[in-house]
Amino acid sequence: MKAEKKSARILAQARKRRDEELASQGDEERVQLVVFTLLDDYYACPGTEIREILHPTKIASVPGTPDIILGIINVKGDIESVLSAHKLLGLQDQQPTPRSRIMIAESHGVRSGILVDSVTDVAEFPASSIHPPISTLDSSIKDLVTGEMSYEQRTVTLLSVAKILGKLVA
Amino acid sequence: MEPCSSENGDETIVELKVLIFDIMGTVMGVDAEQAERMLDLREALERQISVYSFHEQVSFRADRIIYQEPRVLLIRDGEGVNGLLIDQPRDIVNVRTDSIRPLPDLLGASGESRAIWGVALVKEEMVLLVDLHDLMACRIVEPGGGPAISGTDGDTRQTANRMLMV
Repeated sequence: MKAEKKSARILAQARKRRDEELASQGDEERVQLVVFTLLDDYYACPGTEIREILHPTKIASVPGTPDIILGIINVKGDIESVLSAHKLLGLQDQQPTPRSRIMIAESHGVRSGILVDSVTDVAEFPASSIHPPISTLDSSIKDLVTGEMSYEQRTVTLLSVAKILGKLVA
Repeated sequence: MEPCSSENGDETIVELKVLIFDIMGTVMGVDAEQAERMLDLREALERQISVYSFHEQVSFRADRIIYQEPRVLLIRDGEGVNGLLIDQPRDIVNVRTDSIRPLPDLLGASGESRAIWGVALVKEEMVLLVDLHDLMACRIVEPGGGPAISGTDGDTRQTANRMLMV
């Protein structure tokens, strides 16, 4: 009997591994995340809390509002507020660039845009890859963080839109 | 305001005459019917009218505000007539009320100035609508208890009607 070709055996093993991976993924809970950057760091919000991702547009400032609110934008006839993610997290302010994006976030009926430096990915991740936040997290953002995970060899801090908007409405 | 009758007899406001001006790039609009008339600053000061500056009433963020062509809106309230310093209006337009949007949730929750009540979309531009009566009802006065600009202030009278930096 003719021996099976080496390459065919290797390919069969590879297919088997892939099938096993897919089967195991099918059982695992996955969460959709919008991954974005602020300065040099990665952050993410649940995809279920982000309605739309917009290119930067003219933000009209509104007198009498806190610094964290950059102003308002016109989104197809609807007026939305825009928050500075930098100010929210106590980071150094950054002027919008062509890579900046405004994420329209919504939770519990409250909606607002959040200006970020860039959106790098919208993808599903295994829920098991999300770990509790580190206990040494800065107290200014501790209340807004729900966890952290690894993405392209970087640490991603997961933020809760519900907590962000809830903090501002309260 | 331009009313019309609805089926249940209530008057529905379909149009608002809006006086549009901008201060430091922020476009504001007021219901023209809320102002009795408009004067230039010199005339308002000569008539000893108490003039309150718009930017102080709505807490502008800028350190220094420049009024390119200062004008004074006369507003009647319970105490008489007061003046509100604004910049030369650039337009008076009829705005259909169905083009007026409420302020976003977060602005309503966190805004200091409740006088800003909505946003009108005028030729794709966002115009912040300000209620003059609400603005004057909770007006901020100078530490001395008086208006921002006094008719007895000689320097201001000299520079009135030219660019005003405050």
